[in-house]
Formats: sequence, structure tokens, C-alpha cells
Amino acid sequence: MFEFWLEVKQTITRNKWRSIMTAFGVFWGLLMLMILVGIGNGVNDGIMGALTTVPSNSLIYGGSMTTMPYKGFGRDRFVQLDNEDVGILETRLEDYISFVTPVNQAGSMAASHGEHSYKGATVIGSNANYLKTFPQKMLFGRNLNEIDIRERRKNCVIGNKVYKALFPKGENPCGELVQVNGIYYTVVGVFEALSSAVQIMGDDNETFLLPITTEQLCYNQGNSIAMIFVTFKDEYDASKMKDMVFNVHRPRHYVHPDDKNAFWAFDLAEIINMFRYLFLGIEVLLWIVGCGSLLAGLVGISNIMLVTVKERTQEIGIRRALGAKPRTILTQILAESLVLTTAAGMVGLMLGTWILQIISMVNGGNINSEDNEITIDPSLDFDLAITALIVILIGGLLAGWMPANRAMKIKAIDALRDE
Amino acid sequence: MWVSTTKQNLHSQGCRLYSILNNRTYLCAINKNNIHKQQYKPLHIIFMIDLKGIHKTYQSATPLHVLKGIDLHIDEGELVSIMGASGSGKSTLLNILGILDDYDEGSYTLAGTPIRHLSETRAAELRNCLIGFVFQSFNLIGFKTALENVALPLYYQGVGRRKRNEMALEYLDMMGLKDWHDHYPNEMSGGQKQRVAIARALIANPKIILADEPTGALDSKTTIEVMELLKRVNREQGKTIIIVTHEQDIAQATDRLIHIKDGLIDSDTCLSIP
Repeated sequence: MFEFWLEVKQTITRNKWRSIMTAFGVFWGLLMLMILVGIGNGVNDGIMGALTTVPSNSLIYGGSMTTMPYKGFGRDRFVQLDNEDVGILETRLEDYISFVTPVNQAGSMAASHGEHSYKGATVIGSNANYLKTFPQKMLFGRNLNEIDIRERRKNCVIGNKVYKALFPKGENPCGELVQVNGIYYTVVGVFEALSSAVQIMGDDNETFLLPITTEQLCYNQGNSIAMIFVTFKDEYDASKMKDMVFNVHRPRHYVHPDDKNAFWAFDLAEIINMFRYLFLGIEVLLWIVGCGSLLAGLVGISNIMLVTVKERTQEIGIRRALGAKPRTILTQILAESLVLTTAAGMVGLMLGTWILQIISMVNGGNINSEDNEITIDPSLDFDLAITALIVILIGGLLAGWMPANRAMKIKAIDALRDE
Repeated sequence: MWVSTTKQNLHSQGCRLYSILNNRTYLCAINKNNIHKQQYKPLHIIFMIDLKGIHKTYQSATPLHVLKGIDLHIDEGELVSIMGASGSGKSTLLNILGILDDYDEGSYTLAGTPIRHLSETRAAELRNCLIGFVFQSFNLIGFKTALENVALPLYYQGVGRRKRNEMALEYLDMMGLKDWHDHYPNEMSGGQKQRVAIARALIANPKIILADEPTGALDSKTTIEVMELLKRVNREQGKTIIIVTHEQDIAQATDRLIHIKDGLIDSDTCLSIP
């Protein structure tokens, strides 16, 4: 066996440059495959990772214009949800729902504390569940509670950016008064949003969260509610619950049972699914491009080896005259192709891994500024490396097949004829 | 005259078995000028090379009937030359003798082994152990040293590297090229290359050596050297050697000269008696 590989080594190293150039195609192909798939995996993992921090089993919806007449009412009426809707929803769908979060948005306003002010505070009215809808960490104080809602207290929970702008670093702001739009609110808590990859209500760290009842009072909104976040229990699929939820509201607002457009909805699960398919598509594309360049490399090897075999007709003929069996020649050419592809593939694999490592290190895991923390960690799992190796081996055999067959058909007599 | 005999018997009588004329009549030669026919029982006689009625046609748009019934017997230890104009079929005959090509009709027995319709694999095996080739253009492998070239037939027999190289060195020594063992063919003269090729032909200890214009690419001085070498191999090792040539001088240096003309044996002359 050792003898056999010596023979293979001798023929490959005979024309070093050609061997290297031939192998380069496969090397490059595999390198491309590794880098593309590695980065693809990294981006995919990063974004999907960020997405999964959002409670995906949620439905976000609100009232819209009716499109069908119903019970004497014409079309084009605005469906205004209110506090009562929330109560009915909670009791009627108690078995399905994990929690309900009514949300009103008063807009972006300036908040001030003493000499400091922050211009872009997003004033939101909601309840304690609001902070459950995205991953966050309480830095100071507490969340909103039932009493805040019931008594319409002028308490607020502020995002980290608002806190940083209004208070000296490290100071506990709880109990301090912050003024927005001429009204003073007492700070009861500060939170920091942990992921801002997916933002539904703008930057969560700019949030100025009020009890929903307080917000309705201060901004003259009566008991109306702009949107409702419903988070379902894990065993129920949010995207299939849409109709059931809307049916709760339909009789109260005289909406035709078949009127699909009377409510707008933002289905997070659907969005996430869309992302999932998008990334699947990108991954498939990357594999196709990567495998394509690998294939081009293999075709290159096959091509050059065909030429080499042609060129070696005399040598192979001599070997045949001296007693080399057709199978000996076949295995030798196949082995040459296999050695070339494997060597090139290994170098490509190693360099690819190395480059991905460097990308991962230079990036420090981030592709963007501090605002957009999507982790890109190009990674090659072991499975991928093994798959690549198997692909190379099979590819090497396939690439060598045609030249080897051509070589096998060379007869000893051809060596004599060449004279 | 009916005589039951063996080859040894003939040799002891100073006769050389020359050729079969028909089933029972053998042509015997006592010397160049005294060739006579004798009848023997052919039971005990096995020739090294035994060709009977060999026909070969190359199939193409216009089929070419190259060999038209060759009958040829060559005994062990003979040094034979084959001459013929180009197109006479001598190369085809050599290819058939060397199991490089198949024939259409007749029979060919080499050292007791019938050669007919062999698979490529079997043909390679037989070539490896029965036949040594010497070519006009040496046909050494350029990227292998003299030693590796000589050792190649043994590689295909599966002989270990150490043993192979030892034997190759021995044969190179026999050819007077021991010091050149690690040289590549392009660093050697034509005569040296042909001597390497002869060493390669001999190393597997074949039954016959087929030499196709072995001196065709050599100058007159090295031609003489190479011919002396082949003769020495013939005398000392008793190897059967068949040389295809178009040079009269070369032919004259052998023991038996066969002329091929238009696919048939034109003449078969005994040049010397061993």
C-alpha cells in the first residue's frame, strides 16, 4: 500500500506547478463554500437568535375601518377598542391566553428633570405586562402595578436612555419627579432593554411608560385603546388564534363576522416564520453558489487530468507493456485525483476555518453599532466540516473517473505506436 | 526416417531442431550448408514459441490483411532476427508475439501457454512474467531514475521495495551501469539508456526477450556494444531473444534470420549453429 502511495506521490510531484494550479480550483471552491456557509450560518444564528428573544407566540392588533355593512351600520366605520374589550378578552379567552397588554402611544416628547432633558422619549400607556413583551432588566425600582392602573397614579417607568439623559450616572431616580408636556410624574423604576434587534414601539430604551389609565386621562383618550398585545399559552399557535380573538370584539362593535379588514394585525410568529424562510432561502443560495464553485474546481481537475492522461499515453503504455493491469492504472489515476482534491480541500477547509475565526474575532461578534446588537459569529460546525470532507472525497472520485477510464483504455501497443 | 526423439537428443547429435514443415517432418540443420529434412515423432517437443497459421486483419473501411498464415517455431535459447520491409507485417507479428495484440486465426503457444483471447489483465500478467521488451526509443519513464525504471516490472509483481531495488542494482551492475543507478534517463546517453532498458527487460526473468529495432536510435559504436550485450545475454543466460531490425549487419549477428514479406515468411535461414 505504501508502495502504491509512493508511486502516486511521484507522479503528482513530477509536475508540481500544474498539480498546484489544478488543485487550486478545488481549494478555492471549498474555501468559498466554507466562508459563504459560515457567514450565512453566523447571520442566520444572529438574527434568529435576536428574534427568539421576542415572545413569538404573540398577536399584536388594533381596530381599523370596517369594510362591510352590518346590522344597519354602513361600512367605513372606525372600530375603536377600549378598556372593556381588554376585560372581555381576558375573561372569554382565559384558557388560551397567557397575558394581555393594552398599549396606547402618545408620541415622542421631551422629558425633563431639573436642568436635564431628553427630547425623544416615547410616551406609552400600558400595564405591567408591557415589560414582559421584550427582554429587559430592571436597573432601579419596580414595574408598574395594579394600583398604579386602578388609581391612575402619575407614576412612570423609564428606559435606560431616558434615565441616562436625565440623571447622573448611578443615582437612584426612584421618587424623583420628571416632567413631560407640563405634567410631573414620579419615577418608580428604570429598565434596560436587553435586545433591540426587533423594535415594535421604537427604541425600547427611550420608553416613558405610564399606567394606561393615566395616559388615557392625560392625553384625553377616554377609555380607548390603540392596540392590544396578546401573548398566548405555548400550546396554542398565535397565528391560528386571530379569528377567535377578533370574534370576541366583533359583536360589541357591530362588525360583520366575515369582515376580515376591521382589525389590523401584526403577527409576530408569521414575521418570524418569514424570516426563517428568508434565511433558509439565503442558506440554500449560499450552498448552491459554494457547491457551484466547488464543482467548477472539480471539473477543472477532471479536465486537466484528462489532458495529463493524454500526455502520459506513452508512459501508461510502457507500464502496461511491463505488466501493469488495467485496474492498477485505474486505481492509480483515481488515487492521483483523490489525493489532489483531498489535499486542496483540506487546505481550503483549514484556511476557511481560519478566516472565519478571524472575522469572528475582528468583529467581536457584532456587525453594527451599539444600537443594533445582532451577533454575527461565523461558525463551522463539525457536521459541516465532515460533510465537506465527504463531498470532497466523492468529488475527487467523480473527477478522476473519466480520466481514469480513459487511462485504463490505453493499450501497451499505443506506447510503441507513438514513436 | 522415423526417429522418436526429444530436443536433448537432437542437440546431442549436433543437430538443431529448426522448423516444423508438417505434422511429422522437421527441418534439422547440422550446419549452414547442410539443412535436411527428418521425420520424428513430435510428441516430446515443446517449442518456446509455436505459431501455427497466424492470420491478422486490421478492420477498417478497407480491411487490411496483414498476416496471411505465419508458421514459426522458435526453440529455447535461440537468437533470432526478423527482417522485412515496412508494411510487411513484422511489427504486427512482434505485437502478437509480445501479447500486445490479438490475432484472428491460428494458434500461438508461448512457453507452453496457449495465447488466445486473453483478458487485458491476464495478458498483462503473462507479459510481466514471460516477456521482456526492448524498444527502439528505449521507452524509459522520464521521471524515474535508472534504478526505478529497472525495478518497475517487479513493482507490478508485488515485489517489496528493498528486494526490488537490490535486484535492479544487480542487473544494472550486470550492464555496467551500477554508478548510474540514481540518474534520470535524460542524463544518459542512448547506449546507456538502451542498456537500462535491457536490464529492465531481464529483471523479471522472462522466457523471451522481444527487441524492436533495439539499435535503431544508436550510433554504430554503441550499436555494436548493445548487440554484444544481447548476444552475451543469449549465450550466458540462455535467453530466447527475437530482434526485429532492418539493418543487415544486426541480422547477420544473430543465429537465425527470418524474412517476412507480404504477411508470410519469405525465408528462414540458419546463420550459425550453437
